[in-house]
Amino acid sequence: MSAAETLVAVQDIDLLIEEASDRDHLREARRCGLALPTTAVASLQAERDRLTVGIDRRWLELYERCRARYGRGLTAVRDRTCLGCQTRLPTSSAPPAGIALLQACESCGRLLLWV
Amino acid sequence: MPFVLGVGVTWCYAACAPRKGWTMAILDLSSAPDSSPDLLEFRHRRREQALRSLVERGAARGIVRDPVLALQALSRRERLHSSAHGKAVAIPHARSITVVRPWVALGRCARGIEWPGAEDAPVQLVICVLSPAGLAWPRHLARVAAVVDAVRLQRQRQWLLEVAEGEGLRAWFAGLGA
Repeated sequence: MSAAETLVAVQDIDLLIEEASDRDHLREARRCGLALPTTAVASLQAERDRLTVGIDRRWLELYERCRARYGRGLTAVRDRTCLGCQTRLPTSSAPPAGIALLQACESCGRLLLWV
Repeated sequence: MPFVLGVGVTWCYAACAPRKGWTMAILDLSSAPDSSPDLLEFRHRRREQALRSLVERGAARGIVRDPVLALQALSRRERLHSSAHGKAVAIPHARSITVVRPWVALGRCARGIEWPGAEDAPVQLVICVLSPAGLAWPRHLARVAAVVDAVRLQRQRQWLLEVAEGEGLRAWFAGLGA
């Protein structure tokens, strides 16, 4: 698993932890049968810890910084545009087709995921 | 009438157009939205295969960037809490950066799928709800709640089991905001 793929999995786990910890919408989630069990957070955290061990520290620190600042650690790039700040990225920064690549946005500093 | 030119025809056009005054409109079909509803008929009877079929359809439609990671996201949630909703319905759902835009797909299997956590009956209707990671949890929850409401009644579920692709199903998807 590449660093990019691992960070996607980490972000998915962070989203689940966010849902499981959200008390404001718990009633609606229960009505729909979507409420995660209370034990979910601990098991998700354990899975997250296991995944983050293998990630380059540089990317992990940037991910955590972006998460603290913007609410999401990873931001997608679509049509060469950072979906966080809507800045058009230079053509030279695009990775070869089919390769997931991590990169910091030159404009806003978000951790970008090219896929 | 719009038509697609092959490579050879395009070359002929390039050679003749300046003299004959032809005009050509280029139609980019790759970005044309496909409005057909995402209806899958499952032939298999296992949850994992059903989820895989759904994300592969999403990838084929350009909704899911990486089907492997999207499948992981759905499976992770299933491990924590089964998406079987009762009454032979399952609503697997996830938010992930691998999802380009909100999407709903309907899969059905009259024989039923063995779905861990489905207590009353095998699952016959699988309604997959995917959202991009950027969508806030309350909005994703509202999307899933709309699906839950849309299958609450027996006659609604029966209709979904029997309906053919067409305007009715398209309207049903549109009602979900899919």
